[in-house]
Amino acid sequence: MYNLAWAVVLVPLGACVLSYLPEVPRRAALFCIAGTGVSLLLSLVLLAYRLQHNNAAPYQSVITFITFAPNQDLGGGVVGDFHPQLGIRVDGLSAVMMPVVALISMLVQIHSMGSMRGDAGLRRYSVLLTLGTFAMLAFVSSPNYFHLYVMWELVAVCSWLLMGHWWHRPESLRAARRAFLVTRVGDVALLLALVLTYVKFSANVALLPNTPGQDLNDPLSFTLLGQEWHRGHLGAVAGVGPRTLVVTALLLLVAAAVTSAQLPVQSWLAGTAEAPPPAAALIQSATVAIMGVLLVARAYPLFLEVPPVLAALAVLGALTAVAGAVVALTHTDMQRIIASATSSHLGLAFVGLGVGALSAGVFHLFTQAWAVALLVLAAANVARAYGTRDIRQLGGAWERMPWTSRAMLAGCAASAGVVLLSGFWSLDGVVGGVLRNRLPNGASAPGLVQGLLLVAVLAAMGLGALALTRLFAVAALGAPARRRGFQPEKVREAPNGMRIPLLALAGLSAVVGFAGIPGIRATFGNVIFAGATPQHEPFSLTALLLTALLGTGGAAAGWLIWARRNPAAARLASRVAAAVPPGAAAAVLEPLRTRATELLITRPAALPTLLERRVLDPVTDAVADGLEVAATGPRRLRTGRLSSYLLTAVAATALLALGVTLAATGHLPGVGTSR
Amino acid sequence: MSIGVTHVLVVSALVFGAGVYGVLARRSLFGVLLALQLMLAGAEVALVGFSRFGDASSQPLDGMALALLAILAGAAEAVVAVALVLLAYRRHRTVHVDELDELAG
Repeated sequence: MYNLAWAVVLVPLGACVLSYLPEVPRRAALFCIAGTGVSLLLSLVLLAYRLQHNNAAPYQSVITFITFAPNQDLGGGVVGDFHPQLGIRVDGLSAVMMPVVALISMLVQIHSMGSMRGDAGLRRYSVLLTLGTFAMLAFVSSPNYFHLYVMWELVAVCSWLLMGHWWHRPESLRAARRAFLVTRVGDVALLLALVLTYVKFSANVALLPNTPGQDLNDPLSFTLLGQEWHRGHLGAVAGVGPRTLVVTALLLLVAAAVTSAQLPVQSWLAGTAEAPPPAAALIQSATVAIMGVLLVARAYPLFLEVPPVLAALAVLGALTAVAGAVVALTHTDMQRIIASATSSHLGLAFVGLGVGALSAGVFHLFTQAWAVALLVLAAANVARAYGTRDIRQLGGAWERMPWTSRAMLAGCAASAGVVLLSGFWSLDGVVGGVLRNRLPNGASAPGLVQGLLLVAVLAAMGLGALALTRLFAVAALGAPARRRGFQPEKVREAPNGMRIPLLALAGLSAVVGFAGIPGIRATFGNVIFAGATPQHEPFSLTALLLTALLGTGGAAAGWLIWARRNPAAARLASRVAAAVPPGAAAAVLEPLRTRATELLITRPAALPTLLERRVLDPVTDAVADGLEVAATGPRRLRTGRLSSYLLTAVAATALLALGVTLAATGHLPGVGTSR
Repeated sequence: MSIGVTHVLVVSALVFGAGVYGVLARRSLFGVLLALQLMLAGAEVALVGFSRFGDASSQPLDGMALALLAILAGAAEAVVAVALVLLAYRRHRTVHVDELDELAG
């Protein structure tokens, strides 16, 4: 039964390949949608099956990718018996995430059929979406770090190609390049972590009793490494001390933070604004951006052994959450507001993971995925109708685009954490986790850190709710700004194909939160948990009240300020804004962020260019010039006259004949005498 | 004096040599082609001579067959070559070898 996961992963890949058969690009896109749909159905069956016994050990099926001969010197002193494996693993995390990825991808592809209609690269675009879906499905169902790393790279490449889909737009290319460079930093960190793990632990893993059904132990298996890390922590592994674990965990932290758009490099995610909007929705909600959180969730056994790193992760996430919310509050570009809010919510998921609430962190990721995808697609519909993404120029969508704007309202409310909608339940989990502040193994963060986290999470929630309400109120209500050549009365609701995915996502983002209502058995925490058995996270009234107050309160305040334009609220807001120097947040944060990205990423990335200009180019030029000079003499030989060429040929043949004759008759010393 | 393989080979060498001289000395492309056929004929004479004076009892017809094959190949080659010369003429309005020096470096 669990082997269905192979089909779940491979069907989209097959659809990708087969989509080159149909002549019409549109039909190829339908092919891809069908493949993703089949994968979605199978993954739902798998999820239903897994839910029936979610305490059982994870199911794994692996094949050996490549085998190096035993005791072969791999260089660098590593004598290895390296046999990396590919495969599938079905446990709570992968069973839950597979339908999420498949469903969001399918809805995004259906939306693309409308929004990308007539695009010259439709076939390439839909193949890339499906390939990215395949890679992400394989990523969430990976059985070991090798497979995880391969798919991690494949997802990053697909997202890079998708972001640069409109390659003739310079801003689009720049955003794609930046995203690619930034996420490469994460890749290198992940690779280093894996190499370190392999060097330190592979000998020990090979000595463990074999996994049933396998004659060799998987050197990078999640399960085996989880045990090994614990033994390493206890000092039972030769050559492994606390430092090894801390360094590995820090490297993984860097990889996760960079990929999930945390401080100080979160701005790459905002670049998805320049990508085709459906691709941006997929990147933000179900592929690249969530990989970091999933990586930490996978490597949780390691992080549990090093609580300080986990605390650092939580602090980083909390800071990003606040910064993202503030940036979202100040931006005027719809897609950039949404990207900043996404980065903020990913930060909150990291907070959940960092304070030991694994299921709450992943649950927040789960509920936000729908809302983020919904918001990006709805904003795309609005931008398409109005011809701009600037919220100051928008307005009136509530009457003119009823379906899209109502779906957008649902997305904003769900993401902001309005009471009873899905974001509310997951934010409650994160706040509860911070209040409890206890890792599954009993450790906890210092009180000061806990206080900081609590303040930051609550601030991020309030500000985030304010920002999303502003997005909706300014963009969808009121009247559009007057612009030359723009006729507001011509704005129409998006066609069916671009509306139905929105409605599906709106319904989902409202109700998926019920899977995580605290205090009820058989909920999300029962499926995804750290360790061997679920910990029942106790119900916390304080957390519930705080979440309700900040989320709903923030949204209500935003409503008063921007939608009702309540004079008292507006006065209060302007007074608060006056207390803070005008535009301080944007003025400080934005340059800081850009500067950090430049220092950390862009500058070092310019080094190869410098090397090329200063070293490689001169050397190449010198070689070319030398050849040019050397060629002037022999060039005279090329007369272009048939007779001179023939003479050369005849002379050469005669020489050859003479040589052969001499050799055959034994007159040439050393040749022909060997017989 | 009886005719032996040496005589045949001398004739063959003379014909072949005349061909080589023609190829190198003629200035018209058609002349070069004719001289090429002469070189081929020299080789064919040698083939037939070897066939006549060689080990005829075991392999009576091998040399003859090879000579026939060479004649056929030569005929095909002449057809293609004349076509090429025609093309060269249409393009450059000349068949003079010394004026066709587009390949000069």
